[in-house]
Amino acid sequence: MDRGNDAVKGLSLQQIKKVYQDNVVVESIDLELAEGQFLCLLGPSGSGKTTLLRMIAGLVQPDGGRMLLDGKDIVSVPANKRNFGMVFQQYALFPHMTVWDNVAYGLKARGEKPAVIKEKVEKYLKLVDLGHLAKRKPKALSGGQQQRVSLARALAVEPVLMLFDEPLSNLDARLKELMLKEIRELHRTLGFTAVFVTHDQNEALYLADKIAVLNKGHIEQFGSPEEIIIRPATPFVADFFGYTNRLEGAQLSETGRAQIGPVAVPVGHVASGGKPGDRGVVLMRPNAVQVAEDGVSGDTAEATVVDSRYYGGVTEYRLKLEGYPSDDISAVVPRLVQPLPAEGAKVRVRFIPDSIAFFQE
Amino acid sequence: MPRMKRFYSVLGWIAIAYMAALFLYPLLNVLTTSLKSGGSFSLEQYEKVFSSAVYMKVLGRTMGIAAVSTVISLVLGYALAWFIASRRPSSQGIWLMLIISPMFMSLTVRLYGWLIILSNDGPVAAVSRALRFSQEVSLLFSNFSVIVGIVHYVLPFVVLNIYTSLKKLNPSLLEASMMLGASSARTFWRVTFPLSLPGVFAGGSIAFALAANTFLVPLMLGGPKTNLLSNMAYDATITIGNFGLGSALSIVLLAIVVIVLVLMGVLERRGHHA
Repeated sequence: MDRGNDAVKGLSLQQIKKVYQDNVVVESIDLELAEGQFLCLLGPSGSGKTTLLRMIAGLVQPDGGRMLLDGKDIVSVPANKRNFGMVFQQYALFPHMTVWDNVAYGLKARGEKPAVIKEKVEKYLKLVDLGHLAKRKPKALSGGQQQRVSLARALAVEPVLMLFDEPLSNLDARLKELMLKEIRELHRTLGFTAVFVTHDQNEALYLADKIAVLNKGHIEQFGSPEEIIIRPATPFVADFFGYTNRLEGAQLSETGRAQIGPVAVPVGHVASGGKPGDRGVVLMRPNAVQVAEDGVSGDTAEATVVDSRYYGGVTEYRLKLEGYPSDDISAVVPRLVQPLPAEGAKVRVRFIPDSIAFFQE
Repeated sequence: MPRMKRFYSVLGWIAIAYMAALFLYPLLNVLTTSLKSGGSFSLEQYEKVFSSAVYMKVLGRTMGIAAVSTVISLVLGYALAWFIASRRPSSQGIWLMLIISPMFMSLTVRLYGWLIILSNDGPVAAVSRALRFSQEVSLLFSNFSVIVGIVHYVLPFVVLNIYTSLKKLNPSLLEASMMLGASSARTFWRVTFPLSLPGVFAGGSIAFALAANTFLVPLMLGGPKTNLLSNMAYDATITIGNFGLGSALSIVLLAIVVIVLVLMGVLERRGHHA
């Protein structure tokens, strides 16, 4: 029984759940995705993101919950009747068919007329720039080309929803970048609704309108890339998005600083519910820690250099904060500091609040 | 590492020597025997074989029965292999053992079983009589009983070959087909079946070779009218004592089986590139 207000265009997951034996893989997930939006399911392996995608695809049956597409429950609709397109991690091209036949496969299954098939296959092969390879077999293509064929094959049936199961994880860094650009451009041109599974935050930030960060089968945070990167909801999300410096035993002060022993750290984002006097943990990005050369003012602290390295056009320090007993923190200075400071050298560090978050315990 | 390589190379040569001594030498011996008459080279034995209506009829029957048995084995074997490959992975081993287990027993004993099942007093005849299909039930000593026996004999080889090729199939290809809107039937005929053809050809080749060469099955389940070429070769050699004729019959059978297998290989490769 669908209520009238469910009939919004797009995908809606309500309390979707999957249990394998006694193992809860996906627990009670709610998600809303408007038509035309690009959603990334982001999480480490074992977070349930692939299982969630496969449930949306219809390849795995959920153990509970509702899944609505444009207001209609699709849980009982088999995968081959959902009219979704899917791009697989291992490309999954039919090895015994040519590129042309691969792309035509879905259209033939729908009983389209030969003229329509020809027109659409040509259109989508051209769109991924592979028209000249139509007669080749998949094994004669490079990994990047194969993934583009797989993209064209999924798009050719003009699906209501495009699903991507970590499609870029088998490609090298340069090809990955090209494919990201290609997928983003195709999304802009064709305007399809998409769900994209990845463990790579950069892919998610590049592609997504909405990101759902998954951890152990539940959603840690669901929001726009901007919300997630600036206001991570949990330490898990913060850590996943590069807030890799972790300072335990902090206390939030009235002035919006986190006091950790003798060190006062200005906090740019206090997770919801945090108020002055709360104890908790501070997470910060390495680029929030600036190594100050000389008499700077503001929130500074003393630190000892443990190690320093050039790292892709920037200088990365490992530092030990004076008076803070626990682990090192890292600092990334966006230029090549010459010469690299010696181990044990004393430096002053300054904290930039933008990328520093406080989470109460 | 080089020592290891040398060890295996020596081992390989020993195996080759063993095969040469015990397989290639007797085969060449049979070939030369078939080409001799009274101590000199002659094609007399082959002329005898090809000009004899009896031998030609038996040759035709051998090929016909081998072909029919192969086709039946492939259909049954595919169904069985498919069934096993779609069980839970943990139970597939048990199913395979069940399929292979008859091979642990002598073929003679197993054919005795069929002798009982198919006999006039056997269960098949009893059911047939009870249902009044026919009063006179003689399933034994016919082409039918020989084919039943051959299928029983070669089926495990076919199942194993097809099962292996089904297991090699990437499951995401089937998922891709479903996601593209294809039904289960379409997915089977357009994806699963074409990609399992190597196993079908391998299984079919073994089945045909075994079926065409079978000696024991027609001996036990067939009658005088269902003799196959192997039995003729045996009779020629042992009963009549004409080694030349027996050798010629064996070589003809070998040549035909090799030709059929080569043709099947060509067919398979053709299908692959089409």
